[in-house]
Amino acid sequence: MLVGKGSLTFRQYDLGGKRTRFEPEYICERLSTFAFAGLASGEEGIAQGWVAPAHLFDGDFDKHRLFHGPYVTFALRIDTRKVPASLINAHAALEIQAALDAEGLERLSNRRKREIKEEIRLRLSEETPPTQKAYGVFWNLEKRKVYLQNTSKTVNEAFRALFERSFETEISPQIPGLQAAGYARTAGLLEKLREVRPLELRAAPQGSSAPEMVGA
Amino acid sequence: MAATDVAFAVERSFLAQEFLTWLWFRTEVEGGEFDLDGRHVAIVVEDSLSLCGWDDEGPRTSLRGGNPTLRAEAAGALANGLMLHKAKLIAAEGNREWQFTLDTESLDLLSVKVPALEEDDEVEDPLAEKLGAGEWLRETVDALFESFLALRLSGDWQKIEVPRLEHWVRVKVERAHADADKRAN
Repeated sequence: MLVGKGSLTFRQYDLGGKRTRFEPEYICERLSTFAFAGLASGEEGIAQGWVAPAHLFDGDFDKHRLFHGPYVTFALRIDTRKVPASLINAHAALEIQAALDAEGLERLSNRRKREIKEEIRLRLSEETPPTQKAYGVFWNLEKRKVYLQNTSKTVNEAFRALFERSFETEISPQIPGLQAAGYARTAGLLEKLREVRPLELRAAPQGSSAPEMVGA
Repeated sequence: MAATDVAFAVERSFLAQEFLTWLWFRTEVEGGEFDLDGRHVAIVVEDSLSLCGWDDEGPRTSLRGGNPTLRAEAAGALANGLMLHKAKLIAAEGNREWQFTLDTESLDLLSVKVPALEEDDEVEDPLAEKLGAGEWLRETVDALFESFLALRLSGDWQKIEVPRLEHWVRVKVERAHADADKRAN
């Protein structure tokens, strides 16, 4: 299970945009449209898309499997294939030497070296499996909150872009300053918030007493 | 979201670190009990403290194990102006308890352990139950942050709460010195 497994680490997003209702059929259809398609054999780079919540290869976006109470559950899958440059260079050094020995040359042209490197890169790409990762998503439709079970910048940027494209909407991550600005706007305290400066905390001088508490 | 809004928000990210430090202060001085719109929630700062100042290049302290909130290093770090950046906390409501780490960089919740279901709990959908418990914690931390903001943006902050925070730091430092003297004797 990709959603809700083990201890939970997640980032919260507020759902914005103009769309007020997300029908289950619409969600399932959009997940299918933007489903994970993968990298072609030997293709280098990054591929991303949605998978259903059971496992990495789960492509069954049936609403009865996706919906749990107020939540829609699915996962973002990201595959990456990259052949390390150091590996290509090591193989290339061997093959360039072999070509020099075989052809009795002192040096190869830059063009020939490039061709050798490209052949090696293609061959190694075919042999290198992509790294496959998936991150759970749960979306509370009633509260218009979306949660991604990952906090890395790269994954969150990929998630946000794909989510907004898939569901033709906008989401904004919860970060402390935005949350503070949202609160201050609602409470009519934006000017106060503009004025706040970081607290320079120090120990009180000896002999001073603590004032009485204020409520929280 | 306009770029100016984002810049405005990013410049005020320090409020999260102040919030976590304030939470620590409140748990030690008032027992960590909060009334959040009728919900009675208790918070404990438990372990894995990471403290740093406002200067990215400045000193940092990490404390794990052995009641780190009570250690002399924690008191010393606070007295030197360091604020709590990350910590492992416990939240409780009734007999249900959540363990989690709060990172002030983003206020993300990390490694949340939600209350285990009891054997006699009749739960229709355990996954929905677990996600709901995670969301409860998110909402609780958000509500605590708003309580802090209400105080932070009020006149009472500078007049009452900052002197109380400074008094708390002094008491912690004095206790740490007294403990060190006791050990030396």
